Amino acid sequence: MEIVRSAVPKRSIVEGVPRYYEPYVNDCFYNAYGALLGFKGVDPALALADYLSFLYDPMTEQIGVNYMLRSSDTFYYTEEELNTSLPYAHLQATKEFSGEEEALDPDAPRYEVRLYTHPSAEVAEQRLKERLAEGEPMIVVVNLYEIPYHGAYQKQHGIHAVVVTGYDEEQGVYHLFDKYEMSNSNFDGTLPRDVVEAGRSTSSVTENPVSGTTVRQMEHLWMEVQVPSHFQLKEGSAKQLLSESRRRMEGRDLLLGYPCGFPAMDDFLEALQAKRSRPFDDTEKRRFRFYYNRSLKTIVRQRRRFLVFLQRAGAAFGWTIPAEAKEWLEEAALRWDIAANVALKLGLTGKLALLDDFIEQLRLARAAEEQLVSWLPARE
Amino acid sequence: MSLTKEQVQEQVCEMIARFAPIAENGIRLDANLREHYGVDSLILVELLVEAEEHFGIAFDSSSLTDEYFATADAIASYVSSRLEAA
Repeated sequence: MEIVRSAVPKRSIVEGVPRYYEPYVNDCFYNAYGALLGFKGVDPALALADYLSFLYDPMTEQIGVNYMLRSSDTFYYTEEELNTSLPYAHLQATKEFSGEEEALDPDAPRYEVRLYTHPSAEVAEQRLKERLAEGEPMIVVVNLYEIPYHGAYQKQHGIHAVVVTGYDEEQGVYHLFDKYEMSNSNFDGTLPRDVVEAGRSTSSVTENPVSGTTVRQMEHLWMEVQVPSHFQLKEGSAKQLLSESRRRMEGRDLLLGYPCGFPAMDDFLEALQAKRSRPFDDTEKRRFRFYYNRSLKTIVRQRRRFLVFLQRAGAAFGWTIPAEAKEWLEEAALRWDIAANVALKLGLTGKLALLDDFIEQLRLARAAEEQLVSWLPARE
Repeated sequence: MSLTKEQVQEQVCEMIARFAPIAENGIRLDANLREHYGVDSLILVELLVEAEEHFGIAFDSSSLTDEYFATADAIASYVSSRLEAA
């Protein structure tokens, strides 16, 4: 199908996009969503809230929170895969951009994140310019290997979300920012059009020490965030987030086919105990050094984000949050964080005594979360 | 051979300077390792593993956070206390 192109001006800059970055926000994608939400007057601390959960797959030994943390070779996620987290958002299944404007229900209860790809640089660029000319910043995904301001430039591939706020055809540049300081990003300026295009189209090839080589075709992936005009973060849905968190932590339902919450943690702990009687070989070292370390850090951030949500929702809706709830969450985040660091140390040294320390920290995290979950409201 | 507190501090700072992504101007004892020298938790744990070998001590796992070991001084004080206790 041929895509109809609208005329766009030679230059367009969207002003006033907040340079949002919070270290407790999951990743560069969520931070970029935060910038666009903030631009539309929505508080990211509430809108990026997530359910408390934990996932473990005994077959692969992978872990997660509301989805399994693993390398992927595709951007084509299903609606189900994309919507187990971020309850205030609806993420559409990734699809090739057709050129058709999709209507947005002004009364929809959730903001929408639309994930588009297109193999044509021309189509992707045209869409980007159209959105910018309409006054809408856009999230584009780039391969860091092609991005000169980043430490990974010409050294390492990796997908990364940045926010584009403008373009200037005469100067041949895009205006963009990338404030994801966790990966030492701190850029706010212009990049040549050709550089951005290379970043959007060069396949990302990553060597994962645990899961092997992953090749992702970039296909100019981008995200458009649409907020319904009557959108409001309501108290009822905030309460629902708490009760659903309780339900997930109690392991009442399967999540993407996996048990979740405390039963999953118990399975994980049991599997770790079993490792004490087996040789701790190089595969195990890599698993702890690279996979568990990174994945547990994601859990740490998620717990800290949940605490920020609790505090912000408490202030917004007049809830009384007991001091203990904050202490439990802080304790849980601390224990997950120590476990992440112990995982790295175990992976570096192979000293089995550290496996006991790792298990102990996870038990302490579990105990703190059990206290918190007993305080969370049950579903009405 | 026992080391004075100053010797431990000096050796810890040398070690940090080797691991830190940003250390052109040397390491200050009281400066935050992450903010000033780009030492994130990955680098910190690698650094502590080397410090364990170098000084022949062990860091307690329950203190293994970048908040606890936020400065060169915090690491050096910990190492000194372990050496004294040995």
